[in-house]
Amino acid sequence: MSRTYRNPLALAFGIMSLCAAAHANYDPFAAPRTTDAPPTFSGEIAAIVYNNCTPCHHDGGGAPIPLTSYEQIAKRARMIAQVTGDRIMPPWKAAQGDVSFLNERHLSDDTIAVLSAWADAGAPLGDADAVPTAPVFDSKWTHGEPDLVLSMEEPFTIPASGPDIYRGFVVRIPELPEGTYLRGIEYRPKALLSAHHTLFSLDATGESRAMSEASKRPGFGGMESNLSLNRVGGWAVGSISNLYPEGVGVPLVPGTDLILSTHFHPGGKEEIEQAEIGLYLTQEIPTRHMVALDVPFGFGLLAGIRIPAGDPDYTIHEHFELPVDATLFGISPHAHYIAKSMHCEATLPDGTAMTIISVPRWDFAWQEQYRLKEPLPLPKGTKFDLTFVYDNSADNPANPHNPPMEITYGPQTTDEMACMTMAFLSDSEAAIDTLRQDYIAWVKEDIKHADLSVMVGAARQQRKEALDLNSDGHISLSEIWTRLSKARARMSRADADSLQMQLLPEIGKRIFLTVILPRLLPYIAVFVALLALGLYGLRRWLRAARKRKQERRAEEFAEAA
Amino acid sequence: MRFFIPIAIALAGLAAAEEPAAPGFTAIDDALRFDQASLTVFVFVDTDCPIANAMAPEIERIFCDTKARGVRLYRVYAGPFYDNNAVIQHAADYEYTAPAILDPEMQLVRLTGALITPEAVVYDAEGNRRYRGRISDLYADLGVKRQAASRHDLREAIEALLNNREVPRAETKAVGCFLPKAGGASEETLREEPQS
Repeated sequence: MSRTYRNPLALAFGIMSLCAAAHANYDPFAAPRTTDAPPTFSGEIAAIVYNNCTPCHHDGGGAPIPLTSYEQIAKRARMIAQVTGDRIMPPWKAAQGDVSFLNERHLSDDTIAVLSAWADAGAPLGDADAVPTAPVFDSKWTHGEPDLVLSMEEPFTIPASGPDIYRGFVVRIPELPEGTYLRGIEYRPKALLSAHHTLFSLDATGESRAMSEASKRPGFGGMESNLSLNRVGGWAVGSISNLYPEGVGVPLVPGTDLILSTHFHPGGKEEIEQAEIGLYLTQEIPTRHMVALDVPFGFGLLAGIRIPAGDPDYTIHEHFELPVDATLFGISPHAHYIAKSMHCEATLPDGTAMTIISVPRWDFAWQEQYRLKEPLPLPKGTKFDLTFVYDNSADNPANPHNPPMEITYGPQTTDEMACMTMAFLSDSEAAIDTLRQDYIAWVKEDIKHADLSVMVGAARQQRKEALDLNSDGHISLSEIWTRLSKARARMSRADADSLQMQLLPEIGKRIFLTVILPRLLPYIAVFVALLALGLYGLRRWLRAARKRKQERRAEEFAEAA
Repeated sequence: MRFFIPIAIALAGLAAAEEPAAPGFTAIDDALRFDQASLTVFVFVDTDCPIANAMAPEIERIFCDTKARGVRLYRVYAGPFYDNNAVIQHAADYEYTAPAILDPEMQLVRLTGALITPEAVVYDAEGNRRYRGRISDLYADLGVKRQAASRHDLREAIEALLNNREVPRAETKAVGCFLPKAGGASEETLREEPQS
């Protein structure tokens, strides 16, 4: 799941909206109902469900339980009342705060009360002649025919049952005219029951393709960090794509592969996935500049995440200050299974405080990439305070360990992370450059104080998986050689100006000085002692030998005399 | 409770369709002959409930693992929503071979007190209900799925009963989609208000 990015600037590009978008946030009961008569399907319910639920809950819509007729909806009346009352549906994990997002899916308390009253009344139809017509959903692309339609190179079978599957797939982007930029991506999965979400990245190094070709099954396993990946969007159940903001485009280097990082949850029957991907392209040179910053850096790489077994409230705080005026337009919270809540507060220089995003019930299954409805200009000196809370107790059903065990930072979904990727936009290239440089300085300061010991175990596991290219559990010399060659190629092709490439040497130095060197010290001490002892012994032996030789010569001389 | 079960069974039997069930289907009155098997298991399922469908492979595995030991397991489709073709298609989609029961009048819902799909109810050969609840704890709540089930309650119940042991937890909370309200006298109301 987790990634670091060669160029995190592109992370926020693919921010998607979700399926209520077509009828965004339709809520006919913003004001309380004034009648005591029970609600009816024809009167109120059809409009609510058709606008807020049916865009996903129809055949081919990606969500189970079709809700396209009175019969179907009446059958689920109590279920609808329950899941809306618990705010499980519509799926929208962000609480309402001071910032609105594109395609929010909230129902008002009054609407939820109406749905509940309808279920309690036995789901009455009302006036059969006044029932609104159910919406019809066509299969057209959201933004018109894409400039390029690709599909997964091989079909992938998802079994009927078993644990969730996280797998990467490589799709070759054919050679395009020089100066082609990506404007957005639309994704159409085929495995509608089990496909849950997919993140899109670009890989210009060919490394993902090599991993895929080495694997016996289509795609490649795991979700290891890969510095050469450049995330450009995402899809989740029921989502539709948004094109990137006006004036923004991602350059497509020849030979780039599109990487699909997929998540499937087996739904009871076998399915075959071979998704279609529509690319929207432009030849226009981007006129706006942007940067996406991971706060904390590297998805919590430096945050010293070490969550004791049983701790129900492990908390991480992070602070970041904006060094220039910039416009916030996207934010993507990220953690793994045991995170339970996240919060980001901004305090402006004049003291005004605002909640940028609050996720009171984090759910790993819903990896939302939030895009602000109105991009938010923020002045220089704005302070962001971020809080991440984790529950590593046995009472957390999402805990992957039973009984609970210590969880540290790491790339596996059973490890943990903490991050909000914040995307800023500016007309001024200098402002974005200042923001990048200030961020690098901020992270370098963090590196000086970071506890990087948790990284070592994670890195060891990751290295083992990264080397085992054919996933057979054994690492051969040829795999090591292949990997080293690829790493050299990757480093030479990687963007030397990227945030990661600038910060990695600092992190490496810190790890060596604070983690590796202290561990090596006893060995070095023993080695030096042994060396000194050896030299001392050698010296004595040489002296004794010389002495013996002199004595022998003296004896020989005496005998000769 | 035991006194009222035969009444409910008799009511159910009277209401049951008299024509023989189609191949792959079992008539309710046949399924209610508890003395024909060491254990009778009703698993309430649904054609489009995602939690019931996600459990389909495990339900089928339990059926296959226990049928040779005298356990009869039935998929029950309760409510007026299903016809034979829909159920046959559902079995094909989810590779079910366990026999199905159509319960349009909700007789088995009233008898067993089941509320959810998927929910299992186990009766012994004397017609005593010995277990009612979830298949496993894979779903902790609606929208809260574990990485793997830590309790396999239906399997544990069947195993205990086949070995003449007490069921560890005779009643567990099922998580899934609501069954329609049965209306009338359910086993729950009979048990709680026997004088009525």
